[in-house]
Amino acid sequence: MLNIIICEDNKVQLRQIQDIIEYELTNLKIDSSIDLATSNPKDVIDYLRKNKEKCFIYFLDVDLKADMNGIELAKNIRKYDLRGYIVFVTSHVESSFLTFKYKVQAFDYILKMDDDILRKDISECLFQAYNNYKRITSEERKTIAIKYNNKVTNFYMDEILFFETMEIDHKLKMHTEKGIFEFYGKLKDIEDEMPSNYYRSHRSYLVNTSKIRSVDARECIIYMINGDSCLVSKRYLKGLKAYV
Amino acid sequence: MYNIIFNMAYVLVVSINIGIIINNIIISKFDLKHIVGVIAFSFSTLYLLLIYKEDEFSTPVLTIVLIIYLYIIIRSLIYSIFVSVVTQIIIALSDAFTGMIFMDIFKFDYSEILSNKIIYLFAAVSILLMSTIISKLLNIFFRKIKYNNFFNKNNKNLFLLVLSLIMVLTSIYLYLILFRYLFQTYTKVVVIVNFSVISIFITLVIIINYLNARNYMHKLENKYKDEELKSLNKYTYMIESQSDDLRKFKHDYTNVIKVIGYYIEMDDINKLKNFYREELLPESEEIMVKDISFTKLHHIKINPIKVFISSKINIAEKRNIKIHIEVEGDINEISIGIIDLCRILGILFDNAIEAAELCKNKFIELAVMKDDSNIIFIINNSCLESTPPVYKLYKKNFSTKGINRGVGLKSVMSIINTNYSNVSLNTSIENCIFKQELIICNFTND
Repeated sequence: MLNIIICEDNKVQLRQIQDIIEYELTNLKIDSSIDLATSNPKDVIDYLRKNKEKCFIYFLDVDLKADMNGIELAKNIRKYDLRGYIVFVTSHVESSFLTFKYKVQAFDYILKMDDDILRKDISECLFQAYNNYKRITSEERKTIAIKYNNKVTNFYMDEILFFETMEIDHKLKMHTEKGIFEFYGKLKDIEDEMPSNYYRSHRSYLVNTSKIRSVDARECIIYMINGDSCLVSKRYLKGLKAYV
Repeated sequence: MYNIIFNMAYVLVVSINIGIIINNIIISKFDLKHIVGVIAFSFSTLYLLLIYKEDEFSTPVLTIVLIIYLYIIIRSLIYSIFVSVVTQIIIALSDAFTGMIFMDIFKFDYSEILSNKIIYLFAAVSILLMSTIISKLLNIFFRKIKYNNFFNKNNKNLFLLVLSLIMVLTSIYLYLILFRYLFQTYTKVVVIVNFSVISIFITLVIIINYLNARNYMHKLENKYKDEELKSLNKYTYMIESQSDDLRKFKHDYTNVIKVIGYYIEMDDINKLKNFYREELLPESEEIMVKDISFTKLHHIKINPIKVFISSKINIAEKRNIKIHIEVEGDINEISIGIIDLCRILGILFDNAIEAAELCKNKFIELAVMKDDSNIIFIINNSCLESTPPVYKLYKKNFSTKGINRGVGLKSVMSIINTNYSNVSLNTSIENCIFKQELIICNFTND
């Protein structure tokens, strides 16, 4: 299950956050516990080294007055846990949330200036994180980690429509139901990583056959369920029929 | 029999020579199988010419055959002509140099070289070595001046360069034919003169092209400097108006203190409460929000960009769109042309502003950040649920604003795709928030 790690250098606030979390876990009937509550960021990393396969929710203070501040700790955490939920605890309306979200895929942030707001934020945060986690694990909404621009981001496999090569060497475009993402890679490598329902329909396209709505065999166009389209070359048309 | 073997060996050496040169100087997609194709085509062409004793025409015929073959693979006529002609020029240069060495150092006679097959073959091999060296040097030179951008543009300069190279090749070729008629055989002097003239000619052509290109760059720079000056003036104006605002604020503040003081003297708590609630509090919120956004931009140390973004922010604020800005770290340099960056950001911002205006909850979030190898711009805006999916927005002729408008996003993609291989744009829509991520990879200077 998804357990919790807290890192906050102010011992009073650390205790406070711990208490609120324990209370909310019972309140929301969530089966989880606090695995680690510490003021020293290095403890978090050491603990992660011993627990590499697990996924956690992290509550991290942004201004840790140690060698590592909150965001550096988060970056180190991401080396071990790519899918964990990182929540930043801050004392002013977070002016860098977009940056945290981009750099370490932060899940949320929590304000600690007011006790009531703190409690409400923690409660909502736990609720969202657990729901998200349940959806991913139980409904088998598998994710795939794609490395683009030196950072690894998770994408839901069932949202991916197809991959397309661009004219520029080694740049790929991934079309999903939410949008279009560019990253560096070779279509061949992606093809090897993807499960069997992905079909190389064309020299430049790798398509998720479970997301195909229809195929226009004469024009050699594949239409995806959201209306987006990609191509199939004549010699791969036959192979495509096996999937559709 | 011996003749056939010798001829095939000779033609093979020349073909491999061509293959090596092209492998070294070409910068677009060229696999091993394409090189083998080049060698095969050259071999067949040259051997056929040799059999029909038309090998006088090997240079022009080979040039044209290679242009055709290259065009089929890389689909750029100008670049195919460029590669093919440069290949021949390199061979001509190596040939002249080899001739010089053989006659000067090895003290061979020209007639000896022609008649003795072994020496002839040996000469071909040394031409191969020489041209390998030259083409490798050319490769390094190309990488240094980042020629890949140059070739994607199809501009007038490129056309001029290729034209002058064709002239060089034609001249060398005609001149060699002339030489052969004038001097029945080559003496040492003739060969040295031969080599020197070819080298000088090539050098002249290169210098002219270089000067021309530099002139063009200077013109562009001046135009850019003018625009930067204009932007700086705008920025100064904004700073001055902020300074004005501050003065007004101080003035208002003194008045407020007076009023509060008065109510306190009069011991009139109710009027004081009223004053606070109705007049002070609402105004102070406005003031707090107004200037914060603008000051965050001060971490962007590239003036034109800073000014450009702040003018867009201003427009957005005037239309009652809430702005959230984050700038993390100092941005001192960026691996994309400033004018192109402003064009892209301009389109993204205009789109964000227009989309956000249609919503009840209007906001735009801007984040500018950098990590070890990239600079990232994130522009998020609130949007309607009826916003069409991302792929539609990038299709030609699509616009939410009516026919023949909305060329914005397509222009952004074309700016990025034609000029920059280190820039990516990620677009997505989630929960009525439209997100654009512009990622600019830094060029490492190696």
